[in-house]
Amino acid sequence: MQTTTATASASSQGSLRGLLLRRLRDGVIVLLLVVTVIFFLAHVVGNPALVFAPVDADDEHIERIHRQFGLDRPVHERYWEYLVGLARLDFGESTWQQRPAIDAVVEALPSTIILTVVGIGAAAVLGVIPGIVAGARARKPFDKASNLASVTALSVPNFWLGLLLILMFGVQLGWLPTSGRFETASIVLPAATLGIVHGGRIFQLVRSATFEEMSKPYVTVARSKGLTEWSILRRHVVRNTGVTTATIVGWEYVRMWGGAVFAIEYVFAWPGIGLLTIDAAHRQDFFVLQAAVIIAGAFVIFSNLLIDLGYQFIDRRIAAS
Amino acid sequence: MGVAVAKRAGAGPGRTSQHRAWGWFIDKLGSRGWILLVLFLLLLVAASIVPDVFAPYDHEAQSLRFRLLGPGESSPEGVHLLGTDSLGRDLFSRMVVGARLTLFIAVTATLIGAAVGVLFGLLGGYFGGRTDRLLMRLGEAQTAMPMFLVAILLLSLLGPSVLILIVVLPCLVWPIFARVVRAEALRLREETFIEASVATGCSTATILGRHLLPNVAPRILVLCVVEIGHVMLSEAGLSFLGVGVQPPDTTWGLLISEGRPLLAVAWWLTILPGVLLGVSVLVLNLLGRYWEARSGAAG
Amino acid sequence: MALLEVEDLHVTFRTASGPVHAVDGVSFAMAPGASLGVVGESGSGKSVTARALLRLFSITDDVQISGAVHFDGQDLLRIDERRLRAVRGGQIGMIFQDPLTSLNPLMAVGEQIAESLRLHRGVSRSEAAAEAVELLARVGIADPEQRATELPSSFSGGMRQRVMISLAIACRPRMLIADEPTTALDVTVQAEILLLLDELRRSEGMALMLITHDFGVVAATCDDVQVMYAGKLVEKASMAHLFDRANHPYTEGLLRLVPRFEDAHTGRLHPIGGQPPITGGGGSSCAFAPRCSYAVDRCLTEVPPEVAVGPQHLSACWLAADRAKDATEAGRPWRRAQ
Repeated sequence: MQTTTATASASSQGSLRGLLLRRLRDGVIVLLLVVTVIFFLAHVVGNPALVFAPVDADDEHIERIHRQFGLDRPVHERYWEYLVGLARLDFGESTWQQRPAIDAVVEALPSTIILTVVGIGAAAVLGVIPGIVAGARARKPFDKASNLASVTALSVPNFWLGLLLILMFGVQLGWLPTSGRFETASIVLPAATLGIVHGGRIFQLVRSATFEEMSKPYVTVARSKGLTEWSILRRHVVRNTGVTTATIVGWEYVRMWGGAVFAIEYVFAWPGIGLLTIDAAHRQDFFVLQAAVIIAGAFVIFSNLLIDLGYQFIDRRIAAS
Repeated sequence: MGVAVAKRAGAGPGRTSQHRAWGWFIDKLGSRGWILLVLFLLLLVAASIVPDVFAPYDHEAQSLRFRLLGPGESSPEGVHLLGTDSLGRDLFSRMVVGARLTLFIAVTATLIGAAVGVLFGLLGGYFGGRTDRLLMRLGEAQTAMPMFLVAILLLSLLGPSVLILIVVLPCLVWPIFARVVRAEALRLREETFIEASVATGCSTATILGRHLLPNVAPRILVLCVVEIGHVMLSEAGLSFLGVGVQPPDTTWGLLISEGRPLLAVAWWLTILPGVLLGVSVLVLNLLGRYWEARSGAAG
Repeated sequence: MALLEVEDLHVTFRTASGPVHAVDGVSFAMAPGASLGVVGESGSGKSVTARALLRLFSITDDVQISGAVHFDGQDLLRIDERRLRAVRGGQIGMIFQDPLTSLNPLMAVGEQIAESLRLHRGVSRSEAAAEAVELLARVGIADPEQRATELPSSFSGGMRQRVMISLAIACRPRMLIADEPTTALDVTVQAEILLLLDELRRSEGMALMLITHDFGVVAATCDDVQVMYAGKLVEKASMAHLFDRANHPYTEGLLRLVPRFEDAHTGRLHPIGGQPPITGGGGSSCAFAPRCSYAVDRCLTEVPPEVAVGPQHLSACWLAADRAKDATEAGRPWRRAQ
């Protein structure tokens, strides 16, 4: 429901080009805000040398870090250097892996992309088709059953759902591998978990979009022409909810990057950016943690922007034609 | 004359909750079912205030001989309804005790988020113009950035603690409150009784406090109920990932995390706290949406 | 032999706040090629009556229909969905109030017409497309070949209603139901649409059931008229007869609502005081009694039956006989009452 209001408010506001520029500017500002907050917490509130040091560092090591980063210099100089570094994708050195933090993130990205793409595919299968059917046949047994399932999927913690699947299909039945990425089947359980969680949201949004569409007068007209409910759905309703559905799935894909995939990768030890982030958090590997969060954050911000623009573009073309 | 039933689809035309996925559950609850939900929540609150009344055993009492007992198995002390953990501690007692911190963090963080959101929403909606743009831009910025990731970063940067959690978690919810309150404030601003207050010389603060706030209060309450559930899930996630609540403190999310290494030998340690958490969130969701539907406040 | 025969039709919506009897025991008949106007305020049950004939309700409506709707030898309330769909669009076409939302915004208008043709007549895609163009031309749309490929958004309100009409008559139905077809249109366009409907009815030999709140619209198009109030038929007669001898006080009130030339200099309109009831039926009084200036005690305790007050003229009023006598003596009672 949030998504539709966002779309409605964004429409009819100047040209696409203007919209793009405005959204780009906003995106950059948001990122700048976030990195500034991170910088201040690390450099001003805390002792940066302690933040940058690995968990097991002794006093001498910390002293060395202090000198190495020039932490005696004024804050504004360090802040500027920090921003310039980020602009060059220089996120600092991993204290754990002894290599640039960005390398570790880039190495982990493909795994996450594969997992999220398969995951959103599963979510779309679980969410879109049942959502359309449930919306078209509201209050019928299928609607009730699928609603119950989606409401449950949205109320339980996602990582817990992953653990439940591990227990059922890994431990009890022994059908599927439960951790790592050593064989093709390894992706089944983490992708299924993502699919269930995000499919639940997709289901609810698609269902209500379909339901709303089914209540429109032109559907009654189509009925008065003698069309079956099925052809009304297939020929008329889905055509009109298509763009909305695609946007919903797009939004949900991006959403994965902002939360669920981190916990799910951790649960299934899937070697992507999520596992990297959590491991870095446990090892106090600040630069890797920072790189991962900023890169994932930037991905989320700019993907949302692209989806909104795409929606606007199609919407305006429809309105114009 | 026979009877032909054309459609048995809904409970009637034009009900606000109709197209919502929750509508059916709300109907099922009926006018009295929600008392059950409230009762469940009251039990949780009672358990977090006086855990000793509800916990059958000392939640810290260890017993290596009777560790990893399954649900329903007994030690010399008696039956362990939900089994024991790797140190022989009674799981049910630990879940009861965990309710306190789980609820405390969720409620406090939601209330702080609500207070900030309501304040910003009222200010933005009432003054409009530059204040409004600035505050709303801030809210949008927050919504655009995946705050869960930022929370992970902040918590590991500042060191995970309950206090930091209560500072970070409100960031996840305040924009929702701000948006709702702002919309309502914008609507009310147009209404005549606000104009009348201005005309009779009331100060801005009086107008905000006396007139706008009581009008948005019901919606804020409903939102609070739903958002407490969401914050519970976020806290559980952060605690599960090791950047939230730290032992010896305990929350349901942390219990799941502690049970995880033993999933293959003692499933109850992981699964049961999750069930309790899930049911609680579901109940909060249902209750919030039920009230929303009842009060006719469309969202 | 009647084309359509409605017997004791009841339609009840079950809502959260209790059942609503939208249509409460309506009976009427229509001959092939006849034209019937159904008049009443909004909420009188006239639109629900029309929709009930084809069981056309939204998925959110929880509706119970009872009675019988005989059309061409079958009871539309009892036949299965499959046979009902053959009647919808094939035997009975329908036009709706709001042409702006009645067409699929993302489907070319030609395709929307062709869809009906292919469904009921089984013609090929190209034949259907060609016929859709002819139909658009038939309802007076210029450059129909080009227009058939366009989306509804490029049509004006009046043009869209023409498209709707061409869609409804595409399969040469034996009956056309038009539910407030001109309400959402400009006054000048209204007249054109009514002329078109009248012309099509005559040339195609269709029966036309026209639902409206406006007596002016009925006067222009229909031979017979029936007036509905709170889910019941309160009066039916031929149009000419009704204009001269309106019997029911409600009809009288409605006729006074039509602005007339004599009033132009005074600028007076004559509204009926009060509001129509939200739910009809189940009562033990005449539903109109609270608003009726002629009401007597009996009107509040008993439901008036339909009584014949003239040839083909029925009125459901306790005072019907007296009023009919007065009318014969003095002519138009609604005019005298001014």
